[in-house]
Amino acid sequence: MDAPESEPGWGRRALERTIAPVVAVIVWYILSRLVFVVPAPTRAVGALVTMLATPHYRADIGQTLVKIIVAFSLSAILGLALGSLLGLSPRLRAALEPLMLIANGVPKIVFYPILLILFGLGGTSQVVMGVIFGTLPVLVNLMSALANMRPVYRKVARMLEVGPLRAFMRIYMPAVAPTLMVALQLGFSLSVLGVVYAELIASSGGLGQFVIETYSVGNYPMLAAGVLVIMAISLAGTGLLRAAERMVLKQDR
Amino acid sequence: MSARKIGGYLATLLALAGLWALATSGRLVSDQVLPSFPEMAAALADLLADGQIAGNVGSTVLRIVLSFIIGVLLGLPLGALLWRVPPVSTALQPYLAAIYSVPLVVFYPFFLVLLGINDWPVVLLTAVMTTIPIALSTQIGLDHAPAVLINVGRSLERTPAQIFRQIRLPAAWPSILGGIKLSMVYAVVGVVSMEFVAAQRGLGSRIRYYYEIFDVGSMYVFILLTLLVSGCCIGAVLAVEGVTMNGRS
Repeated sequence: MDAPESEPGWGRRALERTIAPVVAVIVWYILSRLVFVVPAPTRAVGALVTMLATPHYRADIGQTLVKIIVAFSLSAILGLALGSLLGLSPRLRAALEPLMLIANGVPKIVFYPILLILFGLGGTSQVVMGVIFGTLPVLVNLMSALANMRPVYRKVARMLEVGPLRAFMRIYMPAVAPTLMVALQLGFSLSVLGVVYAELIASSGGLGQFVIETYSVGNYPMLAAGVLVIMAISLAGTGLLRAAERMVLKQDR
Repeated sequence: MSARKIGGYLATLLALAGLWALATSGRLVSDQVLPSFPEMAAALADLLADGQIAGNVGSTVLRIVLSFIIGVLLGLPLGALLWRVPPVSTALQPYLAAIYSVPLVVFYPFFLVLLGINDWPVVLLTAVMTTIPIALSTQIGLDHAPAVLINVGRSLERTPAQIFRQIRLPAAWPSILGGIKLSMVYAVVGVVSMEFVAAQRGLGSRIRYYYEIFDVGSMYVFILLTLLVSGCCIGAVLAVEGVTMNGRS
């Protein structure tokens, strides 16, 4: 974070942070009076309570949560492993970097029908979509961070004659930690997107499917409740990863 | 982009096409999963004959370009505002980053009722995604202009407006360009995925349609077309970068 000269106090920051949500709720309320499909915030909260109290809907939430956690964990592991390999090996990078950059730039949602053909409507398709979405940002950012690492780190590793594993854990990883932590946050956001988009298109359950069903029967308060839950999951996950980032980077100092 | 890089991309694409031909020629992979090139050529001929290709490519490209332009027009001033007024930055920053993890298409029904059945629901929702990277990178770029350059401007008695235009903005440009590139990626991804879920026209909606009627050949034609269109859009931005960064490192 860029620290301006006069760092405002904690309380003031917290106050400033609450402004945006408050404004958002006010705008939402005004919209709900103007447009009939937008439910009032109070009705959405009512629907949310009903949603959380209904076992069937709770199962949808649980299903999506599990898919997101599995997809993100796999994305992080795959992205870390492949990103390190490509970042540290110039030969592999020369062969595969263009493919990775192309894959990172194109809309990967277009492959979902192929996943459906391969894996069917069950959870696997959505998890794989989440992994495809989430792996690439981790992989590409880690790869370029390691490839552009200052040469002095490699020299230190060689001079201290540490083994490759120790050099990786003690020198290279700390060197790219700031980039890696941001890349993991991006990977999480994209895993969420992959899973939910897949569920919105075709799925045997989950929050995406819940949103589509409530939309098709015109139950807009429930639709809004579903949207709120999806937003809460992504905000909570991003928040946790931001906290992890602060912890990891503080240790470094 | 250097000739060597372009060679790398071409070699990669050729290798993929070779693998594809190999996998389909010996029927290693079922044609329900991966159609062969002749099957796709036949599907492409049919689609060209009934004029679907031009219309759908046109409407997807139009949506991508519109959301990108709106992103640039809104993102630059928003970034300047975030840089100039720190409380606005504290109030908005955490949420700006978090918006990416919300599948904005869930707001589509509301936008549809507000704006009608046309290109605007997709364009405006995507514009939310394209505005943010430009705003954030503009803020960072303006913030990180080297103090020594600003001081040189001051000692040469330039007005604040001159310092902004002649020093701060050029110093921020590489960072802003980074945001603009990312914004184009989001424009492509946003438009195609929203078409996929919600729209009746456009490349995304065609892929889904042909999946649903089990016409795998046509589905793949539209998948490849989508990849081609996204490659061209991103390539266009990279070309602009090459021109404006010419002679700078």
